[in-house]
Amino acid sequence: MSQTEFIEKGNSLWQDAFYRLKKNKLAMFGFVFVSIVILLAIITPLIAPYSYQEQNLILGAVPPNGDHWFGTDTLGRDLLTRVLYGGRISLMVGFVATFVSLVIGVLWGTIAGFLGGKVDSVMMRIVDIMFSLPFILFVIMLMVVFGRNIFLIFIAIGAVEWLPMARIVRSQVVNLRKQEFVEACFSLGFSKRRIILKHLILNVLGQIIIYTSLTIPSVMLFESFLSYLGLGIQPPMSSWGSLISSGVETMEEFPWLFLFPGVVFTLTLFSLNFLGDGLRDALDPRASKD
Amino acid sequence: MLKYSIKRLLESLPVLLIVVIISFTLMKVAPGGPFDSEKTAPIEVQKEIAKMYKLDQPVYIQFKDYLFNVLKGDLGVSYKYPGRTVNELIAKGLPITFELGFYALSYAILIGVLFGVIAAIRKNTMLDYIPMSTAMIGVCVPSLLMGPSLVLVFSLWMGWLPVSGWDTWQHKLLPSLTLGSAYAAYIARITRGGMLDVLVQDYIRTARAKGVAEKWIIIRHSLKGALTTVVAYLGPAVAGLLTGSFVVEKIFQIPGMGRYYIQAAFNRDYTMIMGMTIMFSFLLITFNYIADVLAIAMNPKLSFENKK
Amino acid sequence: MALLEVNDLRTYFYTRSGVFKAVDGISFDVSKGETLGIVGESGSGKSVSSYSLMGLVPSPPGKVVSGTALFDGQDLLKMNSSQLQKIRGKRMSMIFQDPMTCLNPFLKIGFQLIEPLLIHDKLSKKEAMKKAEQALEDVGITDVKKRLNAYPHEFSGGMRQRVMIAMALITEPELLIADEPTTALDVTVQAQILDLINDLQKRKNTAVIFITHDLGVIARVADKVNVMYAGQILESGSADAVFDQPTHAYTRALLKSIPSRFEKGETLYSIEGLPPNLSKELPGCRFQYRCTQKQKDHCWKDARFPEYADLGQGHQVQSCACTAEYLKEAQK
Repeated sequence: MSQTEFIEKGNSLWQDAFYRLKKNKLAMFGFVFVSIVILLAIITPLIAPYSYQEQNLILGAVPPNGDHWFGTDTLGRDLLTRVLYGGRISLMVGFVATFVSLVIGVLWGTIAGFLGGKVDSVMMRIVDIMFSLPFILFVIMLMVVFGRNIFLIFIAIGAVEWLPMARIVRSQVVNLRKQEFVEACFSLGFSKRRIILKHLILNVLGQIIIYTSLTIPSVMLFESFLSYLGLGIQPPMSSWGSLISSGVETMEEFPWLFLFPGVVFTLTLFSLNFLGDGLRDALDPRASKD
Repeated sequence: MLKYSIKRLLESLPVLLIVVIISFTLMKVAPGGPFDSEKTAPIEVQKEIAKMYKLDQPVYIQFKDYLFNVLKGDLGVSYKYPGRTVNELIAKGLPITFELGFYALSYAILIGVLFGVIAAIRKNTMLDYIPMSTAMIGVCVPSLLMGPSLVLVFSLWMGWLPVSGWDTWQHKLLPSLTLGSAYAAYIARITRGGMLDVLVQDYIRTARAKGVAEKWIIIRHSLKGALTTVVAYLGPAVAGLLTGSFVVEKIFQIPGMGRYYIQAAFNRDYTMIMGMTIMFSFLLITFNYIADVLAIAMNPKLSFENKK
Repeated sequence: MALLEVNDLRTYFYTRSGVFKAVDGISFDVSKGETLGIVGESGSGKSVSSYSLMGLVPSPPGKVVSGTALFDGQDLLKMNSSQLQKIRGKRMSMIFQDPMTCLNPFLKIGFQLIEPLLIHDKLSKKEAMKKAEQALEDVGITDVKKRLNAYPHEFSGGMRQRVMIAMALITEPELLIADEPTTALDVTVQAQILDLINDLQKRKNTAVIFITHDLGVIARVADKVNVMYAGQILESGSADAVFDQPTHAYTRALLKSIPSRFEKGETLYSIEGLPPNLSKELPGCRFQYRCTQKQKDHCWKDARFPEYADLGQGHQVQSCACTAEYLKEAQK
């Protein structure tokens, strides 16, 4: 392919990626499954068969049956409802915390890359140092000190996850600046400059998409850890993590209590990971396993 | 090499200092904490704390003294339980957590590298898909699901293994598997990627042109290159193992340091948390340091460049 | 009988963008003690043809589709990997182009050098190391003991290439394939290397295939020449014949473009255009798209391609109307 052909092809970068993604069956499955889960989470208040607080102490815990598709817990609460609501919480934590980390990371990286020089060095040095800090411990300490506020959880998790994004964004911004510098020296044509810029911005967007899709499951996993340890969301609001956690306690007699939320959670994580992997393969073939 | 080692060491120290500062600061602002005017602890403890942390002195003196104590190895006393020191609990729990982490990591490395190498040399065949999918399960099934499920199947239903505790090897099997699975998966992926990268290199072609048998191409010519990326991952892996151990220790009721830490968190035993955080951080930083130095040592090019 | 007889070798690469016919029907032979020079641009298939002989074509996506390559009577292309392994590095060796990437950065030079000896000649480490020392000295490397214990990144590009050459020659192969071995080196070193290969050839009657785009080197070392373009051989013959009487338009253009033929300040001659896309069907003469002397219509219509006209004494050229025209003119 000659130089010009290659540059012109830049426009179809997205189409190329899309095509590659569609071919990846696992990623497609992931995409469909996640979409369904998100959809269900959004319309939960409309479709949930029971209220998530509604207790039925006479009934107690029963295995799955016609009335309660997922069974009930020890307080007679319908498990399907609780799993649906739990999904809302878990997904919300996932998306919001990821969003927080994205914002912080992009801002940090852009500023560092843009200003360059000493500011850049200092800012990235901070990132380096923070990488080696045991953030989980700080999160736990924050939880202990300030209580188990859901907003705090968002922020705490977001504060942990922003580092990789900052690095990626910063290097892209630095690339962008290099391009302009080079361009000034060799005065490329207007159209070529635009195309290169387009390439770079698309590249950054691509990285952001990949990063987001892989961070969300990671955040959800982290939240489930916190819930399991008792440091997460407080009942009656429960995430999948806390559902699993309480389900485990009665694991022997009522295994469905931890299996249903567990399986749903795992499948969601699977889907997000497959989707993320697929996106990575599609958008950045160099990094792919092939 | 030596120069780099020392350089890295010096870089690690400020990190530890930051940890101490942050821990100290957080404890200072904690409501109901030892430094708060609202005392919530029994009087004897308060007196002890006051004496130990010199609460009558200005902040920077408090901090200075605390720091000196830390450097001396004294991590403080419990806020909730009179007479108990942080070091005491660490001595009890750390060896166990260490052991758990060691088994989990060994499992992760052995299985991860094996699966990764097989998947790479049989790329896009069944021997690629099966190991990598199995590995994916390790990533996606969280330990808080995997652990109890394994217990359900192997302990409660089959009765082969004990449910909890940490005495015999039967006790240690499931927790190690549970903790290590996710890392086995990551290592498998990294190994596969690394192997694939190496196998298309020119120097592999040279080796083939010399008539080197395929077996040796893999073991002698490719493996080292592929493993450098794995070693680079060890730092983050150990960090992950640390947090993972909290959950696994709770699932299997293992009396490791993680469990004491969580208990302290629940009890709002601030000084205990402070001391243990510092200990954990110290361990983490040490491991990261070892992993970094190892990575450099393994790569002849990098260690040469760092000699200068 | 020649040591190596290649007949109608075709190596294609099957990719998503199409089938690239990197080598599309070449035949040649090399005898003991003889040097065959293969000349051509990047993408002409000169390297791939050698990889095909050694079984080093990455497959997927590459595949040797047809042809035979008889090495001492045995067909290399039909051998399984264990048979090939015995020949590679022992009876047939290759020197590669890029010394910076062709040595394993994780293994010491000494080990990489003695490996062929350990595998094929079954020498002990001690004996092999002795030979390795000698081999390094032969290629002009000093302070040999220290060098053997070093890693590739401690060597310069020129030295690395010398190590590669030593590695290829250490088992005294019957056939040596040198793929642009001196391109990365300066002229004095180049001369040394060429002398070295020449020396080995004299001593051991080694057959050499020398691949390069540098006509000057070809003129120096080659007994026979193959001019390759777009996967085919356009002209072949003894070096003298091809250089004195270049017949194909491409050969003539190549010789015309040698920089040393030009005076200072003169505009250099270069062949316009780029080599063709090998995944497309290329009927007729492959050089027609860049040929300045083509007789229109003939070039793609001629379905006889590739057919060779014999110009006497082994000098052959792809025959076409243009060549015929040229020969007619030349005879006048």
